[in-house]
Amino acid sequence: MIQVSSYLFLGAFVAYVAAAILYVTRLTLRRRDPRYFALADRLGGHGYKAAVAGVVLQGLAIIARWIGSGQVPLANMFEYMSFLGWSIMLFFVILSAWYKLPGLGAFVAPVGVVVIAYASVFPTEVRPLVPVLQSVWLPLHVSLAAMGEGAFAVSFGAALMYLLRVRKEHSARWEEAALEFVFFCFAMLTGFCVLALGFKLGGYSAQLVNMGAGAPVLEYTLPPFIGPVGSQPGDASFLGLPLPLVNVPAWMRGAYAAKNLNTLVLSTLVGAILYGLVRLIAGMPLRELGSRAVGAMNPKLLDEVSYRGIAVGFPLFTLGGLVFAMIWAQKAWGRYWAWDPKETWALITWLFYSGYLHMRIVRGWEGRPAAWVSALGFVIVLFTLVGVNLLVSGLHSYV
Amino acid sequence: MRYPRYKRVTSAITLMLAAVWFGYVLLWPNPNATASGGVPMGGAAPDFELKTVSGETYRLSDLKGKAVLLNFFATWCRYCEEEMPVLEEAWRAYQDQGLVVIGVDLDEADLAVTAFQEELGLTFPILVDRGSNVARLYQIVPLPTTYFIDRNGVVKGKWTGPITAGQLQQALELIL
Amino acid sequence: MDGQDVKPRKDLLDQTWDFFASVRVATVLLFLLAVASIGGTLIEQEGMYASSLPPEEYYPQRYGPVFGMLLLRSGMTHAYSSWWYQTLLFMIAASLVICSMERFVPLWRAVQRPNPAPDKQFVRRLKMGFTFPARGETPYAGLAQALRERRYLVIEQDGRLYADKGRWGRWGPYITHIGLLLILIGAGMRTVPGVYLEQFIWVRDGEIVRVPGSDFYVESLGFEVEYYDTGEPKSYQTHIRVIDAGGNVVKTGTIAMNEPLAHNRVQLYQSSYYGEYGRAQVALVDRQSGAEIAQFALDLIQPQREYAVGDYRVELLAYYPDFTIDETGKPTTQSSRVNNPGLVLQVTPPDAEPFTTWFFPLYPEMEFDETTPVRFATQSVTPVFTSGLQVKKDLGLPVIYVGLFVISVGVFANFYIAHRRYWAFTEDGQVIVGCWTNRNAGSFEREIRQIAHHLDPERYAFASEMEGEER
Repeated sequence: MIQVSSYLFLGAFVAYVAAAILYVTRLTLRRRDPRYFALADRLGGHGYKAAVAGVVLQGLAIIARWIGSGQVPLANMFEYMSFLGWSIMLFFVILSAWYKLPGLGAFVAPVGVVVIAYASVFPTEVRPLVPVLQSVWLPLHVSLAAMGEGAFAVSFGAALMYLLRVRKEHSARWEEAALEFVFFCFAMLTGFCVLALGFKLGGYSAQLVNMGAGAPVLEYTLPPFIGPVGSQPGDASFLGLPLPLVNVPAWMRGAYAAKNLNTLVLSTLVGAILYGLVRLIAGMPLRELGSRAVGAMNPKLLDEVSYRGIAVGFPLFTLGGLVFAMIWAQKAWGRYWAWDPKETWALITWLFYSGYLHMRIVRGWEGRPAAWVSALGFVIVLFTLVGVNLLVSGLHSYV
Repeated sequence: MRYPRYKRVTSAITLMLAAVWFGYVLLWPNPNATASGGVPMGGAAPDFELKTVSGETYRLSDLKGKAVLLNFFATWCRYCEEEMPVLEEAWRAYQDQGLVVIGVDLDEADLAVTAFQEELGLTFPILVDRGSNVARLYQIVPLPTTYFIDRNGVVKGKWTGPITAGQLQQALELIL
Repeated sequence: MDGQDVKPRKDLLDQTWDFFASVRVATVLLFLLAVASIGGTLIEQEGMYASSLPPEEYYPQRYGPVFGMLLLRSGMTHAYSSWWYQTLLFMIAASLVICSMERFVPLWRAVQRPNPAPDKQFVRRLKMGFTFPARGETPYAGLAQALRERRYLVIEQDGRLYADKGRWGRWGPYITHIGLLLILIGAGMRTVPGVYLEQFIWVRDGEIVRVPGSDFYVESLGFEVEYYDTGEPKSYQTHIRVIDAGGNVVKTGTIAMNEPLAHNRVQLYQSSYYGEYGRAQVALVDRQSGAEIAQFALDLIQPQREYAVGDYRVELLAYYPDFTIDETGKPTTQSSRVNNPGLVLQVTPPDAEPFTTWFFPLYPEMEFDETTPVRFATQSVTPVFTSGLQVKKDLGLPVIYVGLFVISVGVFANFYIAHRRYWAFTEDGQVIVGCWTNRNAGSFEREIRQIAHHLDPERYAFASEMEGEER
């Protein structure tokens, strides 16, 4: 049954990639020539069908995994992040049905694809649940929080589109730089996924002796350009190049500092290459490319979709990410709040989106400033999910 | 035009609460600090109840009115063994001045405690901390650790590591 | 006097009100609180670092002398109880109260006591609406029915029509605010003595331990753990008895993961455990023949001084629960836990001289003297567990739970329920309808179009006003 789930999951992933490609193609065609509008719309229609198919397939994959493993599939990074990807695509499908905004797919579907690709980097084996996770509160808390975050992701896409749309009407220099940076970050994330998945499928592995903090032997799944303290060039190799080239500085005392820094640097490099390529082919900064893509869209509608995403997601996130989490913490650990980093970042996320919702009723803050807050909000969501695990350890560290 | 009364009253209450709040936050020591952060000097010594090997129960709160020297040790700790004669001496000398010396052994077999007691000729009460719960309450990490508690149950001093007679003398002046 | 309107400057009280009633200020406070919360997640907080050093020494050591001092002085080492964080919380509480007070009464009047016959220009000027021909004696009949079908409350009065639904949606924010205040109160209650307790105790199988900060005892009747095939713990629980100050058993029960036991408003949670080698069944064996002479039970937690083993007398001379050799080469124990027991035993055979020998129950083959006439063989070793229990009491908990429930209701009411209103009046044979909603204009428009289409099919085709893209 787990095997069935894997096949369904792969099918869903293919469907999402197809949707992303179809939507992006649709936008490109529309930009070129009004003659292509009809074709473009047909492609958009197919893209929507692909997205729906993906959501259904992945939904089945989740159920299959549930049946096969005997436990709710929300217990490790892979299961959680792929559920988040599913939630993003689900809300995209729903919001697309409510609002006629086919261009949204070109921005949201790639986000969904990258999130799921990121999920696949993590170990996918089913592992039995640690006693503290065996509770009905696990699926309740995790699934609702993920649903909220999925809606936030769609809002992020629409907000980005809005910002690109209203760019021409005097945007500040920092906004230009920030928009370009968003594209660069996306390139970096894509770069990381490509690297990690590629090497994972290739079965790459290198062991390096570590004389710094942490385990005595560090296992690398990417070529170790940056090695741990005490490693020498020649300890590992890649394409004939003796590695590592450089050692992690001794003041970095995290147990996995060398690995994480290596991953970060490599992802940035690959991301920079990807970004550079696209920029070269496009012949213009990516934000300009984005602006042209959304040039014909109704900014009011974009703004409303962006708002609606958060309005729909906020109660779900409040209930799942905070209320249920606090009740569960009280039952399992005897305290509903301990300023654990993950808990605190969930609160920071909540406060941030609260701020967004209040901004909407302050004169002068509803349009562009709010859109930026929505964009930043999703970054905070990602940090809560991913950054906290990487940088900080705490009670939540088994997820 | 001033605002209606209910608004002004609310504002006044808010400002007063703010003043109280500031005062509390800035001046008052945080009460939750003792719950997780250990035993601060000048704070109340956490109450506990333990038994000796022979089954006698001792409760710290019952010892109010006496100065208490609370020594945490284990029979396998070399420094603890070294300082025991100093503690026994203090017990004999200052007993009638109201000093109580209590040894708290870190969760060892009765046999070990009794042997230790007999070997060193210790006459002060030795309690066995089953589960090391009291040691955790008092945030004991290195052994030996000695707490000096005055007649009102307030922690006046703490000494980690073996103590000499001279140092003990000085510390006792704080609580006797 | 020149007739000019001189606005007197507002005094402190009114300025205070204006400040806390402002949504702009509230928004800023929310973002400030979010940012203020970040530091505490990046810098290890005082209760959470793994070191025996006090904060004044730990932080300079970990973060460097200058930065460490900065962290200590600024309060970042206990960020969430620092003065600046608490001040922000206070300001948010004040904002919650005053913002709500400022808007509540006018909103109540507008929502619960609506005016069914406002100025006609007002209705005409509403952004959404439609017109349809007035037919027959009751021109509003069709409209009223369409609205009633959609569960609107319809009021017809003085030749006008008013309908609305979803009033609850307007109260959402205020319900949420009340919930948040309840949370702050519930958490704040902890500072009151007697309201809050947080302790941790280890209880070995069969032992009785007093719960610090309370007046009752917990006795462990046995700890159980179940493992997965991989060896990871699957589930574990402790059977316990609660004994009051008078020595009476007041409760018997089981504490398992996610299933605490409660007594007197104090909750006991299963938190962790550790095992030791508790009891060994040992056989005395004749070295020559290999025959077993007798067996005896050796309690490794509380060993006896003497054992009678058949006709032999075994005396315990020294015991090292966690055997090791110290720097001087002397045998000693490195902890109080029975992880690697070593015993020095004096064996007195029935008709021979006593001799002394070492015995390690976990490694009976390890002997220092293989010439002794008898030796020890371990038949079995059973573990003894010590259960780790969290002891918690928080009288503010019911307040927190109510607060959480109220917040949940509030946010869902706020964002999932839209307040929608219809006004209608007749003029020159036409019914003029004006519509208003506080959220989700798009789907409301769809509803309006549906109704308009139903009442005047030729004029209102089925198209949504907000098109996504230009043609």
